[in-house]
Amino acid sequence: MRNFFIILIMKILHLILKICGKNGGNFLGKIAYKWNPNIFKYFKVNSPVIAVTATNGKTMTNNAIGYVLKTAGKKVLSNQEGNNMETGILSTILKHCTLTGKIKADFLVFEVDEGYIPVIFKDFPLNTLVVLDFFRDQLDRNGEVETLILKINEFLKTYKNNLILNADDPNVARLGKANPDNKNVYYFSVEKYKYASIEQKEAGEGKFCPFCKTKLEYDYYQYSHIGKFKCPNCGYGNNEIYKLATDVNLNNRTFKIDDITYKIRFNSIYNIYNLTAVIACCNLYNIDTKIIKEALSKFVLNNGRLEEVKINDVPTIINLAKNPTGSNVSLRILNEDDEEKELLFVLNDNLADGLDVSWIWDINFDNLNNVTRIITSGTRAYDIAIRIKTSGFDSNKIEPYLNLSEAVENLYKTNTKKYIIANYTALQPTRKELKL
Amino acid sequence: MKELKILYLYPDILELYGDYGNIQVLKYRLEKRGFKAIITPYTIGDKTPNFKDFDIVFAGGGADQEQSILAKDLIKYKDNIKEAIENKVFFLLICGAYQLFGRYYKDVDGNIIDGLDIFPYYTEAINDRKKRCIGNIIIDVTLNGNKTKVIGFENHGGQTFDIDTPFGEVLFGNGNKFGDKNEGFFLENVIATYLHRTSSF
Repeated sequence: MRNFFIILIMKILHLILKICGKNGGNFLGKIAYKWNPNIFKYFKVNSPVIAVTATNGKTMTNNAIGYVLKTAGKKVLSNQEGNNMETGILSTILKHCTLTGKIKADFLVFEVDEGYIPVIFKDFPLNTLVVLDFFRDQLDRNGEVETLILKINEFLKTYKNNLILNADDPNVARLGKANPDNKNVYYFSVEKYKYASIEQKEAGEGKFCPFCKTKLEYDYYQYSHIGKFKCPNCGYGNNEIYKLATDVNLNNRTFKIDDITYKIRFNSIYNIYNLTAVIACCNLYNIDTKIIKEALSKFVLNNGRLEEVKINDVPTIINLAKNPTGSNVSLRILNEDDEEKELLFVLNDNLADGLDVSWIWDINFDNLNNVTRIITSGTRAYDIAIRIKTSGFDSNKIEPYLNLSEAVENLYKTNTKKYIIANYTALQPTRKELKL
Repeated sequence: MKELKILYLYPDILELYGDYGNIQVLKYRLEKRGFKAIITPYTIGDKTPNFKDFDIVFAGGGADQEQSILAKDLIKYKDNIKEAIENKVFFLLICGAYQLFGRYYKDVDGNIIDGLDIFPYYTEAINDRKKRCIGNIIIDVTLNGNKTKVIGFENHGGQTFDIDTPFGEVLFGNGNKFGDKNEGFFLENVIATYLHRTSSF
């Protein structure tokens, strides 16, 4: 009865918010969860629940899965905007369920913050969990990466449904062994791509075998610690691959899985991994390959995930980067482009970003390809400017502006192609300045 | 050009907090002052380094699990390191490395990881993964007779005890323990600190 009233009140609140033209974010979920932290048990779900978790790539992958399913004519309930903690997901559900807690959809697809998988799914059903990667991120909030992985591993010990794992990330692949009785573990992988390297170029985790602590050996690194690894001692790393992406061509933006060529809108190796996971997931639900192919050829996110736009007719690429790997991948794309370009890096240290910006020292700014000017902004504009200066980039060509408006104004004083990297709370204000 | 030889310990393991930045800044600023920085990395499995051959030895912080693995490796060089310190080789140790040069480190589960026992301090983590000293920190430090403020970021569960010669006096933040007046360890040619991403002003 109590839950009925909680939902009733939430529905009224939601209506009020709507009338006021506000979205509410995870507001509804916050209140409801406070009143009853067990409320997740109340909902009646008759459709598959898919969850995506990772350090990087959750929003893109979550949205891509939702987009493919919708293209296939399915009704999808999803937290597309990315509110991915228990309150955010609860808000999404509350907005769409009946007063008796019934959820009417063909599929529920959620991106879930790594720390909240055990919190939400101890009380809410889960049919497919997709895990993309684990990188260091917000160490002051998350403690160590290992702590997060152990929490998820613990949850998976009694989990028997679909588990889709990145075989090329030793931090993820290990989760396949959490429950030896689970026969529904599926691995995805990507064949060596053009810019893979023998040495690790960017900071990463997963150096030691999680099972026998021996140093892992890599045939090659695709980026950060993602690549073809093996434990020379216990053999960890040898997994049967369910979906393998081959023939990666970032210039043409194509790749192949099971002899089918997919043309996509992105040109980064880490998106190839995300979309391979999407294909693996949709395959498990028997979505027609033709539909997947069609959907992915159109799928694009207009919220700062490799967003390509024209500002004053100047080609501009915007990417969100919340941690070293995200930034390094953005710089990879920048360096794989030979054209002359300018970079704007916006760095905030608000609560949601993590107060500590030590992580910028793990970004590799060496040997930037054909970058003629760098502008920095955000609350820590000077920290990132110094960091870039220390990498050897000509300090006369670095312009820090604490004021974001000024930064953007100065950026567009030239018509050179722009790359913009912004972290979490910096992204939307930056897009706003660009009038997006 | 004068050369400064820097030994960079476990660059692939002790680099959790952007501590590689210290090496980058060192190299950059040395070059601006007309010195050439020769950085030699050493990690598990490499040939034994001769610590006395270097001007500066640097080691950063790492995750608990990684630190316990390399502690076993580093202990092999204990005498070599002691000799180097006596010979005035400069040591800069951050976070995990700071802890390792003491008597021991007791982790959050109560396991004792033997330190190098070069200095008498020891570190114990609080029995609660959530209790860590995390945040911006400002300390007063005296370097070459000049008092200067140093700002950085600390993130450590370990509480370090028995420090007679701290690196700095805490103005804001925690230091060696929750609410400690002192931060780090400083003895002639050894600076050990919990501060990541330091700048002085």
